[in-house]
Amino acid sequence: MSKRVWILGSVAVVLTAAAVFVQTQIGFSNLIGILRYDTRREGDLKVGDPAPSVLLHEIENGAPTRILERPPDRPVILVFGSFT
Amino acid sequence: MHAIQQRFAGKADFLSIYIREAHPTDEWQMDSNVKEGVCYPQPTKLEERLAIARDFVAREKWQIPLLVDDMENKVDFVYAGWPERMYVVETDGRIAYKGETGPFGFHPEEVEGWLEKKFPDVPKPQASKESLER
Repeated sequence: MSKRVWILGSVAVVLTAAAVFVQTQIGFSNLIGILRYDTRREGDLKVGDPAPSVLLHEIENGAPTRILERPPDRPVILVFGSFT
Repeated sequence: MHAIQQRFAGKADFLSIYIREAHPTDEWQMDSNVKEGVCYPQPTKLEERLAIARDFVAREKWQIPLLVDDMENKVDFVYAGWPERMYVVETDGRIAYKGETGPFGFHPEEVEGWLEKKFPDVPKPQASKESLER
C-alpha cells in the first residue's frame, strides 16, 4: 500500500473520530453556536475593585434605577443571567 | 439560589440582573429550551427585554429582586456577566467574590461558602431524609 493511501486513511480516521466526538459531546449545532455566538469574557473587574455603580431598569415599568451608588449596609450578591 | 437567599435572609441582600439572552431563537438556540418552551428572539427594544424578564419571574416563581440591563448592555459589559455570573459586593463597596462565567463556572455553592465564612452563626441547612439514608 502506498504512503499516500496511508496518509489519506489516517486523515479520514482522525476526521471521523473528531466528528463523532463533537456530535456525542456537544453536538454540531452547539459547536456552531460556540464559534459564532459565545461572547463569554473574563472582564476587567477583580476582587478588591470598587463595584461600579450602574444604571438599570425597573422590571415593572422600565424606569431607570441605579444600584450600588453607595456602599451597601449588608453584602450584596449580584446574580447575572437571562431566561434562555 | 432561593435556598441560599432564604438561609442568609437578613444577613445579605440578593439582586438579580437580567442581561441579553444567552440562547435566543435567532442566535444560538438550545434544544433544551425548545423542549421547555423557552423560546424568545434576542430583544431589540427595552420593552421586549422587560417582557421576557417578567415571563421569567412568573414562570420560574423568581423571588430575588430583578433589574434589567439597558439595550446597550452596559451592565453586562462592565461586569462581564454573560451568560451568567455571580459577584459578592462587601459593605465597603468592593468586590469580595467574582465567580466564573456559566454554565460551567457558575457555582452558587461558592457564594454560599463565602456567606458561611462571613456569617458562621447562621445554622447549616438540615440534611434531608434522603441524604441521611445514603
